Amino acid sequence: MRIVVCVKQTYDPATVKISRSREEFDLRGAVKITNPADRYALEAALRLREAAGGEVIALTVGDADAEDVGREAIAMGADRALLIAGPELASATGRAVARALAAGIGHLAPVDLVLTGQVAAVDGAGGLAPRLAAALGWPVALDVVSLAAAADGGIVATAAVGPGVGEVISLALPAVVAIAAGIERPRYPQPARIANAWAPGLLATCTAQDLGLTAEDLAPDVEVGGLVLPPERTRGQVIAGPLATAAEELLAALKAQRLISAAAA
Amino acid sequence: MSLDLSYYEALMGAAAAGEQPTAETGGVWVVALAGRLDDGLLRLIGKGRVLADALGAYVYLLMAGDAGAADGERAIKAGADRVLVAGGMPALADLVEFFRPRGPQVVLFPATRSGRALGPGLAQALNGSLCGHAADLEVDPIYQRVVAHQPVLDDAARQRVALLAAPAVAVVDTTRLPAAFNEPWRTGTVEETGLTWPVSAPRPTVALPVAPLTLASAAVIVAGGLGLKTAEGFALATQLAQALGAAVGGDVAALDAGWITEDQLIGLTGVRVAPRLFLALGMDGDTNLFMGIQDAGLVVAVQPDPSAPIAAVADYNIHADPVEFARVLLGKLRM
Repeated sequence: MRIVVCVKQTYDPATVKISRSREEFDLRGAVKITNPADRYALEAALRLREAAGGEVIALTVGDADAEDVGREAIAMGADRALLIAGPELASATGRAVARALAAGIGHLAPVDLVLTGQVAAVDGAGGLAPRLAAALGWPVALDVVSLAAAADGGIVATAAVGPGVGEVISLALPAVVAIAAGIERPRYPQPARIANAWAPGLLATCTAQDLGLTAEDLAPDVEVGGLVLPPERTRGQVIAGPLATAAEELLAALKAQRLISAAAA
Repeated sequence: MSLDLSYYEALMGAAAAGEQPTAETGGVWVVALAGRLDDGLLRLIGKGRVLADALGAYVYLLMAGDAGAADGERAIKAGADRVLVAGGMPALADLVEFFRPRGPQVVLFPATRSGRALGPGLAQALNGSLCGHAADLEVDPIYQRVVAHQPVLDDAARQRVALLAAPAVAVVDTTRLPAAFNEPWRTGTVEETGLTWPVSAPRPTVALPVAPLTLASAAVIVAGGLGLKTAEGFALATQLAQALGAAVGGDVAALDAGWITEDQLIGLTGVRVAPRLFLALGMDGDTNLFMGIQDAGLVVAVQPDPSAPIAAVADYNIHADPVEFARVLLGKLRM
């Protein structure tokens, strides 16, 4: 089974600050990491390879920095990596990224299974798997927390549908599966694998032109603007009055800020 | 319901006339996949109405599943102009076939499981633009394009994402939208499309392990201090936490009193926490505690002394006996 895992480089959300005065992200001191959900996808692929055999290939789109993500995937256990890089891809939007990944998957054919992380760390976007499935014409499953090979040659995916409830989805291959952060914690790279991740021949690089993508294919579908900020925090507010009224006022405020569910109050 | 563009046309020349939406194509579409219209979908129709009014377009509702005629009427009161009823559950290919000849301007999906799977797929298949995680939508008054507000960094802020290519598809978290319209004077039509899509059989379910609630991962924490006076008083904090689905912690005083264990100690010497809501009962607060909760979202302090250190740190203060207040709050939550 040939499994392609789409990994992307993102900023570590813990290091991204928000500039209130400029209404944009303050990226000074921000660190680039592998998207955490994509590490879960890679872990699911490695476990599937251990159970059913095959090959795991990490696929990433970005600028030259994104090589680190491919190397980290190899250190975690991927057999090899393909980096689709270029200046026009560094700022590519979702539609162009999905097209580039679909072209990369075509380049790596025959591919049986494509895994992605369910959400992106900073902006919480989660549309890649269904977009990729639409671009490839394959079926898709979302919110999957574990995978197993089925006897009929397909796979059985368990998707989280609620707290403590999973749904069993049988998928014929080829398919696209979005892996949610959940049960199978990503492994740490072994030191020996980290050292070997830079061995020649493991990571291939190509450009969008190599894959036959035109400037029109990579045209942006969205334009990202500034941030809309919540009102500034005011400390030291007092809720006065009799206990019953104060309790009601507090619950109403918490509900309005979505800090407790409407059902709880 | 077409927009009066005479002034605009005079200003811009005849080019503007060609951009007017017609009844056959364009429009703001809302896709309901689950049959019955819930409150979230009615809110989404209302948001579609606001967008359509700004764009000069109609609001269409594609109602798949087995919805009743009453749902069509509710959708019209909530802002829909035309309700198209279909049976069953569309796959992506069905939706693409449905929408391609209709050339929608905007398509809104609720962020349900099916909406999250079909919305992005539709955008990709029709070469449209997508915001897969929208909390709100508006129309840019200058460029007349739809701008989605996407929550970033765990909803610390929202990013404006302008959707350039048509159709502009958005998967919207309907719980964040303003209340639905319910206006009896609105008129519209309910039509059968004659389409019936196959319904897939329900899939088997299994139990999944649930991660235990820890102070480090909890979104809500209820913490108690010496102001709760007795172990019975602290038990109220535990009950409140259960009612709120929260983790329980305490300060050094609560640890010394034997009400909490060492792993429940919040502060520089214990666990440093970052919940979205921190409810402090009977805690005066000190540097040790404040260092532990400096990444917390909203801090609510319940204690009687207006000059206690925590009064200046907390977002909301309730100067009352914490035991009495906890009892009242618990009563309200259980009501």
